[in-house]
Amino acid sequence: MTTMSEARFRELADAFGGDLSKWPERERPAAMQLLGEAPRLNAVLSEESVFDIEIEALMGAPDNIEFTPVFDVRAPSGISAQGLLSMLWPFGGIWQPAAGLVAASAAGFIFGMTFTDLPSDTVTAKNDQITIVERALGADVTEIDL
Amino acid sequence: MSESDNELLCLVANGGQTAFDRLVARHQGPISAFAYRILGNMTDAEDVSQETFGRVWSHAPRWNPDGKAKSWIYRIAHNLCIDRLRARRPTVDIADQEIEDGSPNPEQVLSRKRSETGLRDAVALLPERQRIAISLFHLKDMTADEAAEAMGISVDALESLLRRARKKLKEIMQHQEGGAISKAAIGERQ
Repeated sequence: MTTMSEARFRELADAFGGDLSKWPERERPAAMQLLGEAPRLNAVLSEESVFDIEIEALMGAPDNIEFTPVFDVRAPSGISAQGLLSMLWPFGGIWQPAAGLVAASAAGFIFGMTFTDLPSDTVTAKNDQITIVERALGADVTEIDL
Repeated sequence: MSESDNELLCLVANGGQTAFDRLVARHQGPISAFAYRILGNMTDAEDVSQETFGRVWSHAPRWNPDGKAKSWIYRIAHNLCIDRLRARRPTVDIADQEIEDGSPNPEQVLSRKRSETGLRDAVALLPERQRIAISLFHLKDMTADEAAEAMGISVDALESLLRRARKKLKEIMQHQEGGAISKAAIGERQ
């Protein structure tokens, strides 16, 4: 049994136009049922559709003006860590700079271990160590047995 | 298959830039057109569009996924348009002045300019809320429920605004057609 009157159908068409898919969800089922029972109401929808087309033609922007694309709206605030990392390294996967850093560190470590020969068992080396500690603490540590 | 607006906005809330770009590509045009229709000015419309997507980006983590993303985005644009209209109200807005002070109504104003104005101008002469309602509802793929949610009003209120707006526009168009017919008839007689 139809729960919508023809008058109500016309009212809705007056307001929402000829496209039933745009009508309020709660009204659509009854409207479609009524339309099935009274096909003459298709004429009401057609009439309103003509007006819809005229209005919708106006809703687009004027043809001779192009809108500026949105490029600069992404601010750092409120961005996740992943988003922030992507902003810092926009050239590809974030693993690339990370892998480069790890490789450089490893190369430095190997180079240091291989080619550096510190005279750690000499008096000079001990004096150097004392000097470094004194400078760091800002005190005379010659009395401390290193 | 393309993602829904809700899916895209969820990704944007987690910093998804590609999802954001898709949302922009999908809605920038209609939002700019909507803002232009409300504000009548391309610069303001572009500003509103930019600001809308700026807020979409920064506020996405606060969006409630139970709601409709599309309505939420248009709500932002709607509010920004209203802010701009309020800011300029003391100096401009012919339609509102006419309604508030009882001076010539939109039809009378339009009839004076009938020869150089069309339906586009008629929309511009509608009262603010009717203009917003009709501009929003007649965007592509916008449903009544989404438009009402975007405006922050009930579907019944939207229905009332749309009915009055469409009635007024139809009257104006009939007026114009009548004018054109009369002129044509006069021309034939002469």
